[in-house]
Amino acid sequence: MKNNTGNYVYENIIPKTGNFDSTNIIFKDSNDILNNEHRRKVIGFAKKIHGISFLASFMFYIIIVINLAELSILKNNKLININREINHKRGKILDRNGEIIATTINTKDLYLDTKKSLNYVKLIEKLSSIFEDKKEDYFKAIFKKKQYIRVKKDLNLEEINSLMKIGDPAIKFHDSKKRIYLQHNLFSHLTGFKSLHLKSKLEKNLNDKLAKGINIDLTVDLKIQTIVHEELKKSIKKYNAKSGVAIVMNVENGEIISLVSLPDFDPNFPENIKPLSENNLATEARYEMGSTLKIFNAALVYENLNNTNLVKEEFDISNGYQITSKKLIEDKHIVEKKIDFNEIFIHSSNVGSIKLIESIGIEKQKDFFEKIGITSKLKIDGLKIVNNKPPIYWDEQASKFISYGYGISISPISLISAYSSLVNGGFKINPVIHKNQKKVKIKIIDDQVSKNISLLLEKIVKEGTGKKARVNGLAVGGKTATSKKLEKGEYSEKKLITSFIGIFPVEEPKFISLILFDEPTKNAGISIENFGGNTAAPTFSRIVRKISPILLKHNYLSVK
Amino acid sequence: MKFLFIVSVIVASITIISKLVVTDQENQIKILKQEIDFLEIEIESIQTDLAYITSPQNLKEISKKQFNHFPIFLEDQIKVEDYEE
Repeated sequence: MKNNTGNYVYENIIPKTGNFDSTNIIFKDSNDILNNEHRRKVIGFAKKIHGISFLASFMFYIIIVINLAELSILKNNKLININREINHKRGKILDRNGEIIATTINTKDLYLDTKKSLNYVKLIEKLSSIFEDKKEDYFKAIFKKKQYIRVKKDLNLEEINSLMKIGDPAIKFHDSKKRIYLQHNLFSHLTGFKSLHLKSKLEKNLNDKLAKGINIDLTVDLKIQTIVHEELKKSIKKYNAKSGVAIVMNVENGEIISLVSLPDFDPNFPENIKPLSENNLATEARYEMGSTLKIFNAALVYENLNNTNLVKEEFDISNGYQITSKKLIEDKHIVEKKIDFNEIFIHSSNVGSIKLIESIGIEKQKDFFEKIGITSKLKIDGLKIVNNKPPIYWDEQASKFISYGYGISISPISLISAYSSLVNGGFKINPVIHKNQKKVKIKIIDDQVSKNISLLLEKIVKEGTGKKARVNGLAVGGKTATSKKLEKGEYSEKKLITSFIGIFPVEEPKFISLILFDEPTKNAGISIENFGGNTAAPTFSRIVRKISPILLKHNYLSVK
Repeated sequence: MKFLFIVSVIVASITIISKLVVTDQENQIKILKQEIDFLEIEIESIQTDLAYITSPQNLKEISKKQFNHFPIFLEDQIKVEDYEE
């Protein structure tokens, strides 16, 4: 009961008298005022709690409804991603038309739980008959140690069936994955390999994407690669060369359509790879290219037509050129004593090339090499590219050597990239190997210079050293090269590097191809039979003859 | 009071039913996911087999053994086009 001041007072409280010895005194509220007050408080509290729990349940319900809606209506993307994350496989490597080059397959591994074997003697006997490469002693040693051990990785179907027929509980299968390369050697220098512990080339350099399950679409064409590989292999055998390189590239966007380096390897069996065959000679090796570099002199002359009259001049090559006190450069293969500008390239004159660069000057040569990217670092996403090696001192003498292709070592991919700029209307492009790579195109050379170079290359094939590169029904142009190999500081009299770099169709070049042989020795010593015009040029012709119908089919190329 | 109690019971029932529906849906999704995975593996395996069987090297072998076909050269194509014209 409340008094006037608002405080509770207790009336009629009669102490319960019982045992006065007890220390507890219990008071009893005769009107149950305390209980009623307590009840009121409890009910108030319960109402509040109920309200809160109602709200909480309502919120919970709403959350479930939202989740349900998300699952059933919005769904999928999230689920698919979760699904992918759980089940993701290493991404595939595909060619430009979606043909599979490398993929991952599910396999089974064989394990033995030796403690569970019913009859291990019989089991050993049967296992030895299935796996002929493993001797009985191998299995005996496993059973001696009493262990759970992996016996064989990636079983084939026949082996799985034979093992299941045995029916011993000691035989256990574990799910496994294996990287396979369907085209075997064809793309080995691009894809590299992925084994349990090692990765190489694209498998290594693009591992971040592949490991996430992202497919890599390459710019190479399976059919064209097959033809190029086959023809290069045949030519290496025919000309008895140590190694060979072939590249086919789109001059307009830098897409590499085919890249073959021989010897190669089968990435399905990385354990069999020989040290030398693992090098991609198209990107990881550099050579003194020889006469293919002479075209750069022509481009320099065309660029400076206003300042020079070299195009109309005649050059006396009869006495050769004394380049050092000991070295006399001669053009023994040219009958004429005097040749004009075009003939320097048609007959591939070393003396003429030196005389041209003498007139043009070192600085312009250096600037030009820098402009077309010979002296700068080339980058292709996914591939390792070796740097070109220009002379340490680019002086007058070095400049003369460079004018006919010596004194500077260049990788085949770098040379083909520089040549593309000369024939594609003057755009500097960067070679690309996978489709999503950013394509760079910068104008560096005048249109007319580019046209003149294409016509000059056509003349070389029509009238000069590149006659054997001709293709029926298609106008091609190109430049041959033969250079001596440097051995222990001396140029070898026996070992050559021969090459041919060609463009097609000449009217509006779309493709460029480089063929290179290391030490072709069809004939012993330095014989004209081993020269670029007789080795690389006919190989180019055979390749283009076969690949051009495919390029036509895909509308890459039109024949007038 | 009664109203709140009834609403609570209804909300609780709906919550439980929704949970059961969600669980059921999740299980169905799981089953579908497994089926999709299985089918994807099957498709990939077939694609891989097909890619291997139809690889140019294999086709060449088949052609060599059974049909003796020759590749089409550019000049052949030009001849055919001329003939058609």
